[in-house]
Formats: sequence, structure tokens, C-alpha cells
Amino acid sequence: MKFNSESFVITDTGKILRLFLMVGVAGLLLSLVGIIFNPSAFFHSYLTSVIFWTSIGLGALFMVMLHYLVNAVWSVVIRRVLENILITLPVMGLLFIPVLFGIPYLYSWNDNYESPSHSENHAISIVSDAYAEETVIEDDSEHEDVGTHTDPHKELLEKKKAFLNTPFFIIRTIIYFLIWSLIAVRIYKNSLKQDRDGASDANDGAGLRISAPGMILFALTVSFAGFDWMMSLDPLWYSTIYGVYFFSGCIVSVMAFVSVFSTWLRGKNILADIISEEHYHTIGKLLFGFVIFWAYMAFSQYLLIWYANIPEETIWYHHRWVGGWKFISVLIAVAHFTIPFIFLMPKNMKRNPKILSFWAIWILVMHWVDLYWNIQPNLYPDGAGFSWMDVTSMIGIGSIFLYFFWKNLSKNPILTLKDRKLGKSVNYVN
Amino acid sequence: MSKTKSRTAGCIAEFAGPGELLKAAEKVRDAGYKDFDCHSPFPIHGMDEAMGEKGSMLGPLVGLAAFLGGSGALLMQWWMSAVDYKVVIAGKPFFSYQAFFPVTFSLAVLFSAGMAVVGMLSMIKLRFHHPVFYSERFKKASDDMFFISVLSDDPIFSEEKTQLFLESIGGAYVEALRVDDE
Repeated sequence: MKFNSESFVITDTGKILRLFLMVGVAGLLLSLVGIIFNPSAFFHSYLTSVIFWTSIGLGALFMVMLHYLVNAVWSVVIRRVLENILITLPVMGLLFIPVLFGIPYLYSWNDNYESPSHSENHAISIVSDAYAEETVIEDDSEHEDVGTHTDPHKELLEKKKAFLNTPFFIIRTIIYFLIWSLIAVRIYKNSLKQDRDGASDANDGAGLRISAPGMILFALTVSFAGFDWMMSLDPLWYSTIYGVYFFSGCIVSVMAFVSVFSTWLRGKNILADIISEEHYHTIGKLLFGFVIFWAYMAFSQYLLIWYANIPEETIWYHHRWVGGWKFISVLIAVAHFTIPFIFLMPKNMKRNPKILSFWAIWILVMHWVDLYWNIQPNLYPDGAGFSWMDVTSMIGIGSIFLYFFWKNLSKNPILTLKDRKLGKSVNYVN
Repeated sequence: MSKTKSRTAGCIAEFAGPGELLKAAEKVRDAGYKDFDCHSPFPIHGMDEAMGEKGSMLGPLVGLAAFLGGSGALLMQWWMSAVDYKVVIAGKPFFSYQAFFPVTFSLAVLFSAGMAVVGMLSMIKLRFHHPVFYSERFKKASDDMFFISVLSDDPIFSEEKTQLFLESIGGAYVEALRVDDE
């Protein structure tokens, strides 16, 4: 890898790209082997990983749109990095296709649902269990006899089928990715146009015109993506704040990713004097702020459900309080919020790129744990479980993500050189 | 009793703009003055450094206030709901920390906000009778003028030398601040 300090283009990235592509394909193929042994585990691992990497892209999309809407100055120096993250969204859309094939293994609202656990009618039994844990029906044939009277939960599920059915789920997922890709490609093209033709009011205006309606569409689609992909794993459970909870995770992860990546660039002496400690300070402040925002959302959801104490709602937390899940629940409260909250508070922690990226990696790991804790109790209802496919699919999808990220990054200058606010941004002071 | 004693409490100089003020502040700092201040109608980036100000103690103090407020709130709620006046609410334990969090959070914010305001006011040494108010021209400091004032409490202050120094670094209308002590 070489860096041209005149044109700000990274060249000779062939070696890195080949490595990412090889690791990515190998990781995905290795995960695919798992589909033969345990399809349920494969699809749960795959869903966790693909949502993790998509959430980073979504966070970048939000940050760039926000950048245009508020006419931000400081973020000009990292705008191109963010743009190269968000342009991976179309690729993530393609990588999401296997999840659509996995619907029978993932979502119990599906008619062909194949439950990973022993009880055959998982979706219904999970709530019924909460009412009468002693009267667990062990024989399935007996279950059918008892089931002659109408189960209120089954009825509820029938009513939800107007929304939660396979064709509509696939259509919705396609719509989400189409909207995100459309905004992403238009933002990206507009930015490249600026590189070619120079900054103009028309160019800035175009960015604004994409971002303003884009922000509204983004808010709706991200909320519904959270409902569809993760909340509907337990189709009888509902939480209106869940979409915002998913969104807060997106922002936290992208700020963490940007601080790690720019520190890595700094280590290679790229943009070392352009992304200054003032910028790290601001990235750190946003990271800190959105960690608090995430905790606020997570706690708001928990507090209301805890207070009302209605079985249909508490069952979700009940599942996450069983066996090893209890430990992970506490771990998330402590390590996703309390520890970063205390350690990211001092100014020095945010101004030192290496310390900041340590906490950023910490938060990225915890963001994965958070998604894992949201998704996988569906697979392991009796206590936390772990599969080797969690690792391989994470590395596989991550490498493909990084491959496309690098590929786009090395095609164009790593800095938006023609931006009129660039000089102001470089000399930005907190 | 009607006799007033006049003394020099410091001197003041005027600068053309924020950039000039910043450079002048650096020179005053390098000359070794400690008890001086810059006056401008708006905040100037980098002024803390130019004046040689060290980091403020306010942050840690606010942190301490937040900790005290938060733990005080928890203690108060524990004492009220689990010791002094036990009432079963919705069948939940007496000490339900989940329910206490909003109040804990709010009191932590209240204490830290209070500490931030009171601490700031006490640390910036706000006075009602500051020598600069004896200067007629200083009134424009809240409008469109930039000033540096050096007070006579400074160990290296000397009425003549300081005025000459302020003139040498580009200050205009240098004047001594004559204060009437009653």
C-alpha cells in the first residue's frame, strides 16, 4: 500500500484487497458448510453478522446526511471515509439474501417454521410457558388434544399474519435496501461530482436535497428494519422503542469504526496532520454521547416493561435471564454502558487516538454482543450458546464489507479535496 | 470622611481585533504577568492557551457533584421505601433499583448543573467593583472593542513599565486605572 500525498489517493492496495476477498470468501464458504449440520445455527449466526456490518453502513448514512443537513464543518475531513462505509450498503443488500432463504429457520411467524428447540410450536409455547411453567406438555400428541380450545396467542398470531408473512417480509427487506442504496449511491455520486467539477452551490444543494427527504425515509426504514429483522424473531412480543434502540446501535458502531480506522491511517502516516486530535475529540464526544443514548433507549425499554409487568412483554427479558443469558444481560449493562461511560468521560481519553480506538474496539465488540443478545436467545432458549459459525460468518461478511470499503476508498482521493469547508475543517478547534 | 484617596489599580490597553488580542495575550503571558485579563465582546478560540490558563477544576468538581447527587438519591429512596415507610407497590421488592433510576439520574443531573453554575461563578472571580469599570473607554468592551487589563496586584506590575510594555505590543489608548478608595 502506498499513499500519494499530492493527490491523496491510496494506491497499490491489491495485496490488501486480495487478502480481504480470500478471507471473506473462505469465511462464507466455511459458514455454508455449517448449513448442512445445523441450519438453524447457521442462519442465526449469519443474521447477527450481516446486521452487525449493515448497522455500520446505516450509521455512516445517517452521519453523512446529518453532515449535509446541519452544514457541518468539522466532519469534512472524515466525510470521504464515511461515504465509503455507506456505499457498502448495496453490497450488504446482496449479502442479506441468504437470510431471506433462512426465514423458515429464523422466524416463528412463518408457516413452515422449523423450530431449533424441542417444543414444536415454539412461538406459542414461549408465552404460554410464562403463564404456567408447571404445566409443560411433554407429549406433542397430547398438545394437539389440549389445543382444541382456541389459544389466545395463536389467534393473535393469526391476526399479525397480515403484516408478518414471508412475501411481505421479503418485499419490505428489498424496499429497505433499495431506499438505502438509492440514497447512498446518490450521495456518493454527488460527492465524486464535487471532486471532478469543484464545489458549487448547486453541488451542496444537491447533497441537501438528497439528505432532507432521505433522513425521513431513513428514520422509518431503520425502525421497521429493526422490527422486522430482530423484533419479529419473537412475533408475540412488541416494543415501540425497538427501532430507535437499533438505530442507536448503528450510530455507536459507526463512530467507533471511524475512530479505529482513522487511527490506523494515522499509524501509516496518512492524514496524520489533517485528522487532528480536535477531530478525535469530537468523534469521541459523539461516541460517548451515543453510548449514553443507546443506554437511555435500552433502559427506557426495560423500565417500562419491568414496571407494567405484563407477561406478553416481560417474556422477552425472561428469556434473557435464563442460564448464561443472565450473565450476558448484566455484561451488556456494565460493559456496553457503565465502563465506556466512565472511561470516555475525561477529555484526555478522547484526544488520544490510541486510547480512543481501544474504547472504540471495546464498543464494537459490545455492539456485537448486544445484537447477539437480541437475536440468539431465539436459538438457545435454555441459556447462552455459541457456535463456530458466529466467528466464521462474522469474519466472512466483515472481510467482504472491508473489501468493498477498501476498493472504493482506493479509487478516489481519501479526502474531499474540493470541499469549500475543507480548510476550515482542518483547522477546526473544539 | 469626604476625602477620597486615589490609587492606581492597574492599567488597560485597547487592541484592534480578536487576532491582535490573541497575539498580545501571548506576549503578556510570556512577559510573566499573572494577574491580567482579556476582554472581548465574544469568545475567542485559543484564548485559554494564549493566556496560559491551566485546565479548569470545574469538570472534576461537577463529576463529584454528580456522584454525590446520584448516590444521595439512591440512599434517600432506599431509606424511604425500604426502611422508613414500606409500601408494597405492584408486588415488587421494597428496594427496586429499576424504579429508582430515573430519580437517581435526575438528581445527579440537578446536582452537577448546580455545581457547574455555582462553581463557575465562584471560580471566575466575578466582582462588582472591578478596576476596569473606572475606564470610560472600557464600556465598549461589550460592543466592539478588545482590551487587555493588567492589575496592580501582579508581582511584576509597575505603573510606568507596564504601560510602556502594553504600548510596545501594539496596545492603543493605554491608560492607568485610577480607583477612588473611600
